[in-house]
Amino acid sequence: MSRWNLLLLVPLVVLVTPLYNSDEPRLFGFPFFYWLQFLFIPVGVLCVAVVYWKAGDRR
Amino acid sequence: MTVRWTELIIFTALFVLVTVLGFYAARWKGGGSLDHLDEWGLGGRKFGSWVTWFLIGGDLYTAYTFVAVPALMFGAGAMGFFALPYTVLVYPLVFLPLLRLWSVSRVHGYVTPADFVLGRYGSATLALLVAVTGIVATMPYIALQLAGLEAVLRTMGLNGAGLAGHAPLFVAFVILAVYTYQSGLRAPALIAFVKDALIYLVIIAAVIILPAKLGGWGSIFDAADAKFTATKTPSDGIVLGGNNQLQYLTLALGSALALFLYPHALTGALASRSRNVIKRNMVALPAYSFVLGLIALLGYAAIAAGTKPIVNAATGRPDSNTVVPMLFEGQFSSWFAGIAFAAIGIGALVPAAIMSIAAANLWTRNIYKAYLRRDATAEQETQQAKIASLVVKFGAVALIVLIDPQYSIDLQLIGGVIILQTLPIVAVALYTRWFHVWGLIAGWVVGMGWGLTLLYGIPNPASGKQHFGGSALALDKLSLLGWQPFAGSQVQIYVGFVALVANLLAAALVTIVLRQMRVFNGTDETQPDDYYEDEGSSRLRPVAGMLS
Repeated sequence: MSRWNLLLLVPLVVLVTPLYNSDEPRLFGFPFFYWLQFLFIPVGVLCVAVVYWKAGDRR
Repeated sequence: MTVRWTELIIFTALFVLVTVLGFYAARWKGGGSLDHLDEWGLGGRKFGSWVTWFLIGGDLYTAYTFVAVPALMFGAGAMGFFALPYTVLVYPLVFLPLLRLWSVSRVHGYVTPADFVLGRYGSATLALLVAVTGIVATMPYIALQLAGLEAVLRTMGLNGAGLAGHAPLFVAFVILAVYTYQSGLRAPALIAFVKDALIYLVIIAAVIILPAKLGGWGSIFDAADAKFTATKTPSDGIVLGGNNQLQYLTLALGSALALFLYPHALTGALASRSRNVIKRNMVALPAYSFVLGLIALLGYAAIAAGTKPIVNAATGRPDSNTVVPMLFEGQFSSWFAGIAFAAIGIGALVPAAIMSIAAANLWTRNIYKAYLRRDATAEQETQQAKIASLVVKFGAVALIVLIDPQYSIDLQLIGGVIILQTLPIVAVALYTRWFHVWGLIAGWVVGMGWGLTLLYGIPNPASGKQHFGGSALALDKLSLLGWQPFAGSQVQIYVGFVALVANLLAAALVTIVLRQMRVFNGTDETQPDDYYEDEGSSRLRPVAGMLS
């Protein structure tokens, strides 16, 4: 088990709804609730990608 | 009723195109004989990164995405957006377990999750439970695809009453059933290319043109906000309320944990050529998540555009599934609406095909061959699978008549409650054999029994039916043999999550007792190294179809 694998837990932050459950501030017309969750997509990709490069196959 | 001819002709033309492709697919990348399950059911187990991306994408982004989620956004607001965190969470969560499952399956020649369970625990009972659960959980998910397809057909004017009203759906479905029978997994894999091309075309056009027509995203959100403020229901709105945040997060987490327990999602992963194919896909698949989020917001665009759902002639109630089709109908030219309808329709057929194949694999490998006919030849196995794929599809048709939840998304969420009960048996077992066979069986009985009891008690306020109306449970109603720990609370939670927790607790309790008593815990045919083998290793089982 590589420590890099712990990065896979980072996206779980998206479950903490009080973090982003508001209309303001808006971005390009999108309420905070929506654009912040969209932002979590690249965060998730980044975490998986780093684990892929750094650790994926180590036993 | 008025038939929309332009749309119907374009829809039919594209439908005929994919039907031809579906039959042609039998020869595409042909390896050995289609009479072997590795060939019919897993496409020869040699799909590369691109095909896998389209195939798993075709599995995951379905009528659920294009019809059910926007319908929920249209009706209930922010709650429906749980689908986005769900697809954010799923890839990081399954990344490592899926790699382990791929390797161990290639070393031992497993085709289904139940095969793995049989190898891991040596218990036919446990494998049977997993197989039956997979087949049953798949049916409401296929039923959701049917609901999506039917929404499009009704929007085009094929909105008949009674059983005859379902006729166009049956025709489309029989055609699908026949080419799946003929070509196996290659049919949906090939059609997935057409499906995704159409969907990306439609969605890119929609998310550029619709906001421009409706005054920008800002005013779309404002229109939705105004609608939800005007209603009496306290739980809707463009942000979450106090009572549905727990439901939001348990739905997102529960759905993410459930997804790769579904036999069809695993089929897509097991059909890939190597561990690297899976890894690359776990990085690349979230590209679909952006699209999913934008499609979800079409539910709000429909509010801003003043879209009215069609009254379903079969039920006599407005059918919220028709919200997105009606939005396209109202905002775009007839021919573009026709392309959009075809995209949604084909987007429902591809996953329906993959799901029925996966359920058929389960039936054949883990019920027919394990119990009914142990000496079945490869040809007989494949023949059984083909027939089972038909039976599963018609089971889904029956479900659509029997279960009528307020939102069609609840069909998938009810399937989720069921499939989640295999998490300790399949996913946990990939890492540890700590749980005892009988502990797992006890957990399954508790989780499934309680989950289904709770679902049975949820009414549908729209239709007035008392049972199977949804998947959200007020904590107030949470009762354990009459004891209500949260009486009075209106906070809602996803039933699947409650049932899974009960399942894990029961499994752990029974395990502790049986371990104390040193009861035999089955034999494990897998080795620790099996979970890491990759393409090119001499320990991988050869793909049978390639030998003949």
